[in-house]
Amino acid sequence: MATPLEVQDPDLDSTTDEETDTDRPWSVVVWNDPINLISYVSFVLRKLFGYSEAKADRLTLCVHNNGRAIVASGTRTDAERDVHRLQSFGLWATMEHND
Amino acid sequence: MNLFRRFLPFAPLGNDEFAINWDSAERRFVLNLAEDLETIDDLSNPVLRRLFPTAYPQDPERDAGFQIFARTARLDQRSEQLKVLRETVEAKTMTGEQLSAWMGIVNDLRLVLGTILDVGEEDEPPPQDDEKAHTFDIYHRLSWVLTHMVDALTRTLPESDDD
Repeated sequence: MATPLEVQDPDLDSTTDEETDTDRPWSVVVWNDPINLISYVSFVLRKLFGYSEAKADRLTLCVHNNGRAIVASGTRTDAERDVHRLQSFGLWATMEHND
Repeated sequence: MNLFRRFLPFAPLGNDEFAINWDSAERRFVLNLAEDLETIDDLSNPVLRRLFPTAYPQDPERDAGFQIFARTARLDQRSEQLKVLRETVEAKTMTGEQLSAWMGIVNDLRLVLGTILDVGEEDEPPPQDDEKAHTFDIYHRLSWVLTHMVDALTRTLPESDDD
């Protein structure tokens, strides 16, 4: 009996396929840290994203209570720009895929 | 302007102007501290690591590319901020942009000092070691300054109703 050909699974984690990569939305995450003031984090979110006081406060409390919060999402270029802007205000920000 | 505002270190006056009642000797101290920070150019220093966190925690290769860009941009930004600080160390009023430059530097200094002191979420008693106790005092003083800067600048943010 012939053995079936082994088929390699596609590498689903690979990010070399630019087409697929830019289609998948990215999330911008802000992480809690013991140094940044809550009022400061809220201010930065309002300043950078134009969020209302209520929304910025809600996100900041989420960071503080849950350790992290998604503050924005978009293309890889958008997310990189946002991460850079957040980091230039001293926030601990990273980016990850939304799915 | 109400009476209370006269005692605040930073008070919005309208028209993108802020009255500065923050002691200029203390401003000069902050400027000197920031200039000392500039001299640490070894970016693998763990204290500076806090100022340049990972952007792509799951992709070290991409992150390396991001870091090169981010670090250069950050150093340029700090140069610009220090220039503003030198120009306004005695100023009685500042624009929002100038006050934001001070806020950026004060926040960076807090991040560096806080990392050195390894501060946690809770209020902790001051360290026993004299040198650390001194650093602790500076850190708390900067916290007070930052709180007031944020308060003043927040008051001038436009309202938004995205809810």
